[in-house]
Amino acid sequence: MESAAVSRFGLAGILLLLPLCSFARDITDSIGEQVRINDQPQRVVALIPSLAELTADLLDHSLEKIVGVSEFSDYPPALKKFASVGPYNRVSIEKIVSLRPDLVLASFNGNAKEQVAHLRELKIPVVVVKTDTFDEVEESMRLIGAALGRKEQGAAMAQAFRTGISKIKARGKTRTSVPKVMLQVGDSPLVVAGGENILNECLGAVGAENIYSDSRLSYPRPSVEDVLHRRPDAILVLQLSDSASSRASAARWDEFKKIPAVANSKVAIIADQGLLRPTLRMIEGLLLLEKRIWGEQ
Amino acid sequence: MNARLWRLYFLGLCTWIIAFVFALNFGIPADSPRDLISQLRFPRALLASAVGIGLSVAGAVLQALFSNPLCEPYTLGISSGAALGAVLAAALGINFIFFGITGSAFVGALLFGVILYFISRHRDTNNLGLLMAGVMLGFLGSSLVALWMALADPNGIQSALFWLLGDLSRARPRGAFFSLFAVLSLTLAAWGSWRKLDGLLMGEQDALTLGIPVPRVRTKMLILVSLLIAVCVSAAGMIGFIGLVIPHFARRAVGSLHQKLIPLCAIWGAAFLTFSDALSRSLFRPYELPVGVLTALLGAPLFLLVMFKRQGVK
Amino acid sequence: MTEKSLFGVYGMSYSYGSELVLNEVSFEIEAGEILSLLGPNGSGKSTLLKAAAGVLRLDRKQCSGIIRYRGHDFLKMDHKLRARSVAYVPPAIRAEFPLTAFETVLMGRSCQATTMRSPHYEKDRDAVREAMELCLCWSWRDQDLHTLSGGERQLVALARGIAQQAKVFLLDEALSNMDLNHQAAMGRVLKTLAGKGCAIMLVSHDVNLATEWAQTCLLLNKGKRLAYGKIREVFTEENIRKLYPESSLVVAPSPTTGVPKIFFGNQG
Repeated sequence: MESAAVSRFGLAGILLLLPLCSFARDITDSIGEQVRINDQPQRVVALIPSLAELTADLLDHSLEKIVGVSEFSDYPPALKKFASVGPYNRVSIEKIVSLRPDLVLASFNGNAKEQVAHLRELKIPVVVVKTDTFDEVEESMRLIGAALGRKEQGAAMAQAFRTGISKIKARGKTRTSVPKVMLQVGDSPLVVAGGENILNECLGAVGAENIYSDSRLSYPRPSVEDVLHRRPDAILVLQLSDSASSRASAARWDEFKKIPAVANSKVAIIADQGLLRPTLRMIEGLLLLEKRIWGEQ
Repeated sequence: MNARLWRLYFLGLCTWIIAFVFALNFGIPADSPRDLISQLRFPRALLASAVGIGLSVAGAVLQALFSNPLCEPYTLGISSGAALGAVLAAALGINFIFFGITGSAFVGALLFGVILYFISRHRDTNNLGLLMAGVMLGFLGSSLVALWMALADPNGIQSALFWLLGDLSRARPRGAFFSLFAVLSLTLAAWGSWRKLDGLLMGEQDALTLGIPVPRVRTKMLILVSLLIAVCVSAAGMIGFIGLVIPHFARRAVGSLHQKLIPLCAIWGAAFLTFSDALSRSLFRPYELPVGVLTALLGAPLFLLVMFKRQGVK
Repeated sequence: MTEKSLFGVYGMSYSYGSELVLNEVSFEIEAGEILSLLGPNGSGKSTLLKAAAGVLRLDRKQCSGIIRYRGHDFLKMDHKLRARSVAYVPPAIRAEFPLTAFETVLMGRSCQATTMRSPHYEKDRDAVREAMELCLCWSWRDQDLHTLSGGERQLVALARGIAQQAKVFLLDEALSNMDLNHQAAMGRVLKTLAGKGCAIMLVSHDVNLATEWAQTCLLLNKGKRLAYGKIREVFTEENIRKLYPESSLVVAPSPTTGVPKIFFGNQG
């Protein structure tokens, strides 16, 4: 008699709890698409190194849930052992499909929109993320946290990010002058950070002004003449690969004594310590940027 | 029809089937969902076959039309129109008729084709004039493409860049079947005009005296070729080499008369591109080589080998 | 304009750009007639032949002319019918693509056939064989055009024209590369064709060759008709000197046939 009652009670309990165990849910991504994903994705593919890093941060010790990353996803170093799906600007759809992912993370501006559409047509859940402004980075932390089933971690990370940024912005507001800065990203041809670029916002946050903030491109290619015309107070060369080439790029400005930055020896190299990554490392990168422009605190 | 010819066709078809099977099966990573790979690879192999047929037949027709063995589908500049359409669409973010780059490339190609059509209908145009006009259009188109690419944000035209080098990875089942159907219909239409194409082989003047209404044939062939190129280039980008070289190989095997030539061009073109595409996809996984690069890398040495063998025999 | 003439060209004028190359030239040929067209370089012989073949467009500035075949307006006839009526044989065939001699002559049949007939259609094959045997090129019919000499290619071109089964032949320097054997043989072929009721117009650099077979002659000088009529009346020393004033030429009857021939005078 008692066992029958227990089993009936157990059954009722399970039936009552059933609605709470949703095995899949809908998420709205950065571009407004509704994506149906599992509660706890077990096979995640990140299509761009920055998102791979963010995913790794959020997953913490459960990195085995990642099954595929794009080429050159080398931070954190643990990512290097995962299968590569090709370069981020042209991933191999076939490789992605063969990994049987239940969640794919793509960047709005970084990955080819055609390929994202193709993956969606093949019924693969893709969450597209925008990370071009501080607000978007903060939102992406929440979004990816939610997608990975790590809602609290995502929210906490977003909050930490917001706090870090506010502190830097507060310091930036106290500065007495606003130096005009050019952030160089490439050489031969000269590529700089333009207006539609998170680097633009970074410069603004630390209290400087990007001399190319008026450009509607994210990475314009101005002529040297144009740089001379705009007279930057400081030139920062972002070191993306090896230091030797960055040193050479910096040294190339030496002959243009008319530029205030050169005249006042304000041409410096800044290592890429996460300045371009939508993770908490961006805060570190901003601190480094601050140091380079304003000197030691 | 003699036995040798049938043997040649049969062997060609076998090569195509082998290439198709190769494309479906080679280099599939273990543990992949079987049917999903077929969903990706089958339309792609189908599209490769269609584009291979289309480009080689278009090349053969153009070479006859202008009695010039150096002509190929890109000579008339129609593909530059497609490139222009694609790049503009990608840069402006337009999704033309929901077909994205494909749709706008098709429209671009047709636009240039229409311009050439009106030029060809003008009283004073002869074959040479049309050829020159086509070459000029080609230059115009590619310069505009280069201009746009220099001015526009690189991010916006990334996908167009890959398409420009030849890209069969965007194949979808419905699109691939449609392309195959379109290409086969157009090929049949070209094949039906084999006598007229034969007569054009020795030049415009001889063709006229042999009773071929050259202006009318030129217009009809121009429309056919424009449509063929528009379909192929809008679906798969600029894949070079095939349209120039497959007709040459085929002529060495069966001669220049088009009743035998066009089917062989179609078969060999399909086999060659299907095989090249399979290789381009599998050689450096997960990197995909632009298939146009592979067709040239495979085909150029092959062509040179055949040329030198011929000299040796002489 | 005689109603019964097989082929006639009336008031033919043609200009390349602003230069008038033909100036109101007219002539007629009957069935069985061989007309030779003579003149110095640049006198417009080739242009006249091409215009008569319907290859040149006459609706341009300074161009005009009427061509009649059996009384019909030639230029208004259907293309295939034109090719079955008038065959133009060029001085050389372009050999850009691999083509055998047989395949080249076969193209002369495209004006006869309907679309999907196989190139091995018996009637076409027989006509090609007949034409090639007449022109002494049947035995090397499977050789590629590339491998043939200029004279051999001209035999093929003539065979192609004959395969069209036309009634009028316009030969534009069509025998100029042949050796004497072949020239003599082709001369007999032309006479045979004329005997069957064809009309032939012949342009030849070798003036003496032309007069060997022709009954009538048209002398063209700077695009204008200098003289036109029977050979013995037109082919006079006076007329020849007008055409070629720089060389001292003598016209005398051939010792074998009595037909007028040109000889170089004592040059000094």
